[in-house]
Amino acid sequence: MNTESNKLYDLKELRLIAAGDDGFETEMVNLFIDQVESALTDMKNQLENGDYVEIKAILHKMKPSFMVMGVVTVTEIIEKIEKMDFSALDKSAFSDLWLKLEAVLREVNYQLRNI
Amino acid sequence: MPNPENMTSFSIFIVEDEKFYGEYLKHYLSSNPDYEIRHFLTGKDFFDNLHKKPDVVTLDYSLPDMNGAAVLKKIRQLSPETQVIIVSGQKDILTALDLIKDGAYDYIVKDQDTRTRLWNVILRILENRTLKIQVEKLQEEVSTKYDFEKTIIGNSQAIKNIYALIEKASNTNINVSITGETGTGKEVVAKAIHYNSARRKKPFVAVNMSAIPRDLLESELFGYEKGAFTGANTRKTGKFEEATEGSLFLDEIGDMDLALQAKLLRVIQERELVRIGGKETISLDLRLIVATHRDLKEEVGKGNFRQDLFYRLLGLPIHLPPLRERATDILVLAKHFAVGFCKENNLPPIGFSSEGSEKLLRYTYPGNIRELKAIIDLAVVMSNGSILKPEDIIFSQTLQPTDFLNSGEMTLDEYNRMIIKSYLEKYKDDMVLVAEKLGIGKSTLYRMKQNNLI
Repeated sequence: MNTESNKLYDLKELRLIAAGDDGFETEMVNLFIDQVESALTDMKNQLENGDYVEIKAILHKMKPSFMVMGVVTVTEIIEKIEKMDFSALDKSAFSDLWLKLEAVLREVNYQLRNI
Repeated sequence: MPNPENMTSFSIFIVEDEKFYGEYLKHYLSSNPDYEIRHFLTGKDFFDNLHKKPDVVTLDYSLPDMNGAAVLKKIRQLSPETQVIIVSGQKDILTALDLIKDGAYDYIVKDQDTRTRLWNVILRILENRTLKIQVEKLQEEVSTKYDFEKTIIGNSQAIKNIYALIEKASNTNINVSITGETGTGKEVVAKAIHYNSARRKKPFVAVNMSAIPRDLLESELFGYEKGAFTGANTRKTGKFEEATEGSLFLDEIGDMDLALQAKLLRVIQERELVRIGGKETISLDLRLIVATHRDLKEEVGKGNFRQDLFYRLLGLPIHLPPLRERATDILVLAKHFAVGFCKENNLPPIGFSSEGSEKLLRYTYPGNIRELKAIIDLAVVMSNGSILKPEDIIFSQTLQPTDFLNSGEMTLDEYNRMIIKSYLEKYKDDMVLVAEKLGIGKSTLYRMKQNNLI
């Protein structure tokens, strides 16, 4: 069970839009979990290929969804990545952020599966 | 225009490759039951459905298979009536400006306020669409209203000639000058030309030159820039600009002072103007229709009107004869006005007694058709039955049947010809009958006719 203090997501916006449509809410949560899993796999592959720009693009694309799901920690990490100079990338700093991001996303998915 | 036949159906295509976000927007916008919403994940899938001509497309700028700018360009080509709202994660202002310049309706950045802004922009598009449909409907109604054979009433040869001239004017872009006494329907003819021409869906702007103070006329016609003079707090477009692609009707052009005539001449010659206090040259594309109750040629002779302007404005001249010269139309018009007045006031239909008709035919109508309408409206009000009697028909107390003598200074010969013409109209060119009624010789009439004096 997720407690309010360790919750990494906030369903306020999604519930506002769902307006009592529980089916829609569940469907969207499941869709989000699937997309995060898929994005993590894609990003890991890109990391192995050293294509950091593509990782940034994937994150940029998913950012609005993270906002809707209230995953604030992740949006903060994405913003840090977006500000990085990719022409002279500090790979160590990127790696730190990536590890943090991966951990948070796995935890978000875990929490969402256990709502 | 998409879905013009069904005001309640408003289709929105969401093009968003991020499935979660696309479904989120779709569900939110679906809370308006009038919206029909579809979500497409790829540019290809979207273009396969564009033939359905959606009202609005919300377009993610970064699609996996197509670039947002290219998608926008293609939508503008294939479905120009569809409004495109770019919904993008990019905050690049230059990109946004370029897209709006290329025809995007708006650019919304994906953030916490996206859905609210999107909702409001779509509402604005819907309002604009509704207004556009209303304007198109009104334009159609106005065009129908100015079916000139239904608005310019009469059976006389004079009116038939005017129908022919209106048709000629409508089919071309020529300037038109309309002359005629007050109340002969100069503005009705001007509108008939405009609303039967290719310019009918563009504005018809009428300016009565004698109704605007001289010192304001220039700014009314040509507009001004902010700060051009004391009190010019904002930029104002003039009547010439308002009439762009349409028609500008300058009534009582003969009352314009010489200084402004020079400016008008320059604008007409150059087909462009500069607002007062401005520097920008504005090109003009409009048809000019002018009207006056004065004899402009005579005014040129007197030095009151510029000869060069006179020839510029002349174009196709249309002279509207006074009602007394088309006597055969008096009863046709009277019946038309009576029917219209009864309909407007929910009154039962009314007819004319023979004595009433005779009384109408005897009068000279110095105020022309406008005066006849006022007389008929009053007669219908005064009537106590279904027939208009002579006592119901009240001419203005200041205007008696012989007051045509005061309608302008003419020679005795001109009065004679006017009377004879009036009788010929009244008796449908029956020379024998007219000669008998007026007590003059038939040969006199024939001779006058041969010499085009009547």
